[in-house]
Amino acid sequence: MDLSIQDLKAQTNFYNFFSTFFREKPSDEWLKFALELVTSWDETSSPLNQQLLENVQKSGLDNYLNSLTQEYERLFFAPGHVPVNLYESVYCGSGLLMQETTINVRQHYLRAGLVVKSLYSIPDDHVSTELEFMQFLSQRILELVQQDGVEEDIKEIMVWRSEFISEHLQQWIPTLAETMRANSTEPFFLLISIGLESLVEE
Amino acid sequence: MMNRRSFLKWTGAGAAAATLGTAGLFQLRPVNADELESLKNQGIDIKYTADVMCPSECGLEMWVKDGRLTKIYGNKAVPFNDGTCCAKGASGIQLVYSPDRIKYPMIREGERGEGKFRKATWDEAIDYIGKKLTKIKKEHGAESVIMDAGDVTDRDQYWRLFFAFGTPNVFEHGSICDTPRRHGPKLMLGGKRIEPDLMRPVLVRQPDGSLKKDMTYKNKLIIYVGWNPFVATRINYESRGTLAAKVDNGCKIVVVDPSLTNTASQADLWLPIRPGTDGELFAGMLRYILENDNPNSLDRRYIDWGFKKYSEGWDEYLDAFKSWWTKTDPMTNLPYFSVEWTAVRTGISKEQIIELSHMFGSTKPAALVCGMQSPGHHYNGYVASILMTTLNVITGNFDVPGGAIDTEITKSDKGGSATGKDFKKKKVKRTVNGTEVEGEIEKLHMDSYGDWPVAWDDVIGDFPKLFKEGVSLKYGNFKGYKYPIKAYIQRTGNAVLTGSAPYRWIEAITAKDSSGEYKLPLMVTVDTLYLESAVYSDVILPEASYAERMSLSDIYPSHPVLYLRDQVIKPLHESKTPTDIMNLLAKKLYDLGDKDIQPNDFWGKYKSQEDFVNEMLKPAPGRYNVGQPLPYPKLPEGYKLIGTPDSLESGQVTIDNEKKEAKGVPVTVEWLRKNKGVAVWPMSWYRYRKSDATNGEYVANKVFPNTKSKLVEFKFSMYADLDKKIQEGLGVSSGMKELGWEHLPSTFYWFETNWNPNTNPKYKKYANEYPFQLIVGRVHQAMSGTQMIPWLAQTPCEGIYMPLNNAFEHEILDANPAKKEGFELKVKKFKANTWCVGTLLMHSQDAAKLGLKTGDMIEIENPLKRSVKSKVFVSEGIRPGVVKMGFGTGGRFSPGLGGTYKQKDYTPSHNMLVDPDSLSPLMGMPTYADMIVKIKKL
Ligand code: SF4
Repeated sequence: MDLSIQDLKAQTNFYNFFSTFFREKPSDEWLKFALELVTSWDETSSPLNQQLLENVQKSGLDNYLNSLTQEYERLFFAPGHVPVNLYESVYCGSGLLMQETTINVRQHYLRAGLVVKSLYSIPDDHVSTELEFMQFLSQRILELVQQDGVEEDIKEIMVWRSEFISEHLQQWIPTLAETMRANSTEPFFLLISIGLESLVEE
Repeated sequence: MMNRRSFLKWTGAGAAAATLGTAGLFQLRPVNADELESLKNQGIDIKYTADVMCPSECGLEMWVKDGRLTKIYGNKAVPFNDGTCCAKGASGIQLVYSPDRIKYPMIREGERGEGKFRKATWDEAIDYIGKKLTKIKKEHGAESVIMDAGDVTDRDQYWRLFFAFGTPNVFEHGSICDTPRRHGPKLMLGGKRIEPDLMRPVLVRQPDGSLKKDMTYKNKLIIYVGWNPFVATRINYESRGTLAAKVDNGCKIVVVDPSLTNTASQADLWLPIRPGTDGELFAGMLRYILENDNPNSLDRRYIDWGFKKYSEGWDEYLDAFKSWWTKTDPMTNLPYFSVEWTAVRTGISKEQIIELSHMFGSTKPAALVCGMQSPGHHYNGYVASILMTTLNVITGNFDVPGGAIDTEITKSDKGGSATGKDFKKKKVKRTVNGTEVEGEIEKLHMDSYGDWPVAWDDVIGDFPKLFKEGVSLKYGNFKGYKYPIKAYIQRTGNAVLTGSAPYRWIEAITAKDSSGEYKLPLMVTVDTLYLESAVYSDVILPEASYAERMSLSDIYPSHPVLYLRDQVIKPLHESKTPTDIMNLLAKKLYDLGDKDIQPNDFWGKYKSQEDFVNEMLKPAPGRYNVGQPLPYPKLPEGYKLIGTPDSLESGQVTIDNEKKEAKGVPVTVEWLRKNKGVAVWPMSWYRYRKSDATNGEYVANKVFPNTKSKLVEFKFSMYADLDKKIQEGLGVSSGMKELGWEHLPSTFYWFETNWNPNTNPKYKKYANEYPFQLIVGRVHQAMSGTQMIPWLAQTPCEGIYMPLNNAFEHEILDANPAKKEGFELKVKKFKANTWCVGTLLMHSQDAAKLGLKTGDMIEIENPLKRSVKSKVFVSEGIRPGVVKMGFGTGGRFSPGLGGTYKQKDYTPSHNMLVDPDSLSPLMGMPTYADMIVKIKKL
């Protein structure tokens, strides 16, 4: 794959963005910027953008941001059963956490010299961790392409990256995005889901 | 719609994204070479631990690979379950790794009950709780806080903390389990649970001095009354032991139960008794046995009069019992306890009563065992449990091989000073009617010194009333003192749904004052699963699951056996162990200035779970060197044993002649780990007697049983002591008033149960309009929250949990060979009648009369005008005129329950029909099985 530095930077940034988004409830400040970003992904006149604009106007920005954080809690952190689960194993493993899928994800991390900080407590296949891993790999490639004589290293990391995408991200991120769309009518989350999905498309 | 493929090319957007990403690694870190090696090549690690999927707490062997629990087996070294592990136990992995667990601390956002929470940090959550507790303590006293540890299991850390905090109001689930059933054994033996001698193998001292695992069953007759060990598991060995005794030793099994339970289906004889008349049956049996006993007839030597040597008060008991024989029962016009009376009351034929009494009197060894569903759930359960104890004792079956064992007084001691009970002795001052009074913290107890002076197992069923009205102390130093209840901290229980009528609980928990504040300002849930009570909480703390924490088994074996609940894997998500939660909250309270909390009682003393468990182990086994064969012939008879089995065996002991103790090397976590997690001390029988060499006979050893006199007490010294307290207080309790009692009786007594139109004249008027007696039974796989595991929710049980669902959609795993692991999560449509739901069991004759067939929707209404909906399951497996539901099977309104939650609108919550004002008069236990209903087709 021939990647421009610009593309690589963009990828790194996007992985970073989504990883941050799913890691913890975003602050109002963050959401404000994110609103601008996600609306830029679509035509200004698109129905989703229109709807989002309407929602902001209806409730005022502060209230709207507040409703977004509440929706965030409801979708991803509700006690008991969350409408949108953020672990890969739930989508394509045995439906339980910490199963073969998780262990397999762990192997990918280990191959790249990484391990989850809360090993054995927080399952390795949380969307935010998987995207952080992608960010790390993209970042490494970005660093290496600016050096000479490291083609082999680049190739190796490219392999890790594409294998992780095909074996993991592509296996479940589309379903995760679909689940988000099925469980929320909020245009912000719909735009996020579309962006996320496109990130792992071939 | 934007062109997704071009998305990454939008480098402008990528640059904007840069400002929103946080650079660096957050969830990942570099791994070093050694670590990498060890992570890549992990073998299987075997851990010995104890289950918590049901209260049986079987000894388990768990396999761990890559830090992950992969297999669950029974632990063969534990005689309690002897290597067995049931399907529910094996499904523990599905609970531990369920994505629906409580993962992080949560703080309520909406109103109580709305289920709106936000994720919080531990710091935030502990700070929230700590500040509220501190304020409540300052304003109302620590006693305004209730700590309800729910599950008996692994509760001691919480108890310790709250005792130290200064509240005596510390509870557990036992008080809504079966307290009236425990009454007889407690009064007469100082015990609690009479079980058949069925635990095998038992480690027994041989004549040559060696110890041998004995597998022989000696039982000849077991009568299970309202006890269904095959389903309502608590004592694991009873299900396999019952069958083994039957096959190996020709033991006869009789089950007395209104419904044909799984246990009844294994019995030689099933007697479908009318609900709430177990006391009648036992009284009839006792009278028959007394009247027909003949020491000179081989066939009728019912009574083993030797019991008199080991007991006291029999003559007084007998007089009290016989005094009823000449009275005529207004309901039947027959003399009390006569065979005819018993037949009319119980609905069992006269011939069968005679046969059963004769069989029990003449077959030895035998055991008469009451379950949680019989005396436990009736207003007058006390009389039945006292009679049950009496029958076992006078027929010579108490603590004999193959007989009846009170396992409360044979199991190993544990807990010791770790439980924090000593904190209750601390003195505090309160102002009562303008005068300052001093007394121990325990004297502020809301029940024992309030409305329930006899309730030694506490009273959870009365909480809603106390939440609303507060506590008025009537007895002890603080009599006349009043205080409100301001905080309810619940851990792993689910009292909102199970502690009597849920609508009462909800009303009390959501009540607000004029300023719009909740009258109960703090409600906290500590749990692994999200059950109904948590929906009403202000703060939810995630507790490490049973595989992630360390403690000790809490079981009922026939001799001291104790095993470790070892921590098998690390606490998942952000959950914490009870020890950590205790220390965190203790530290917070200390930092907020609470002088009652001292570092050296908490985080300074218990740096790890192991420290805590080691302290809990110090008193083990704490039982006596008594009985035949003597457990340790080389140690003095009658002395208390403390220490590991091997140290006692090798005589590595210090003998304290003053305290009468033989102390070996204390049991520790380390010792247990080296011994497959379990300590087993030898079994003996006849633990109440010793041989008197001078006279060549056995005499009472006066160390066992556990009563004040150390004899079997037919004259209740416990009541005498309590009565003294009552008489010195502000009058008799409301329960005693209901019974018309001025004093607690000194020996045998009798009174009728509630809501029974057949036995209690007060309810006769309802008989026609409400023709059904409603009873309730456990469903093993659906107890508490475990039906959140889909395949346990798909396993039917005894007509009360049946595949009678409406069609519904639910997210489950479905096979899909195209996916990596062959499964995918998807919303699946479940056809009608493919998923188990709570149902109502009814006899076919009754169903025919009402024009009902299996699957029909019905409405069930009680005389209090409360009603629930259900589908009916029609079978012959229940007594006509009786209907049955499961505990906690229907009306489950927490989304943490998975597919069960989806059925909430047409499945019955039995507790909606319980009379919340009918608490059994001495122990305050909700009378779950005293109710009558009418039924109509919808
Ligand atoms: S009987 Fe109970 S404790 Fe024993 S394995 Fe089954 S679920 Fe676990």
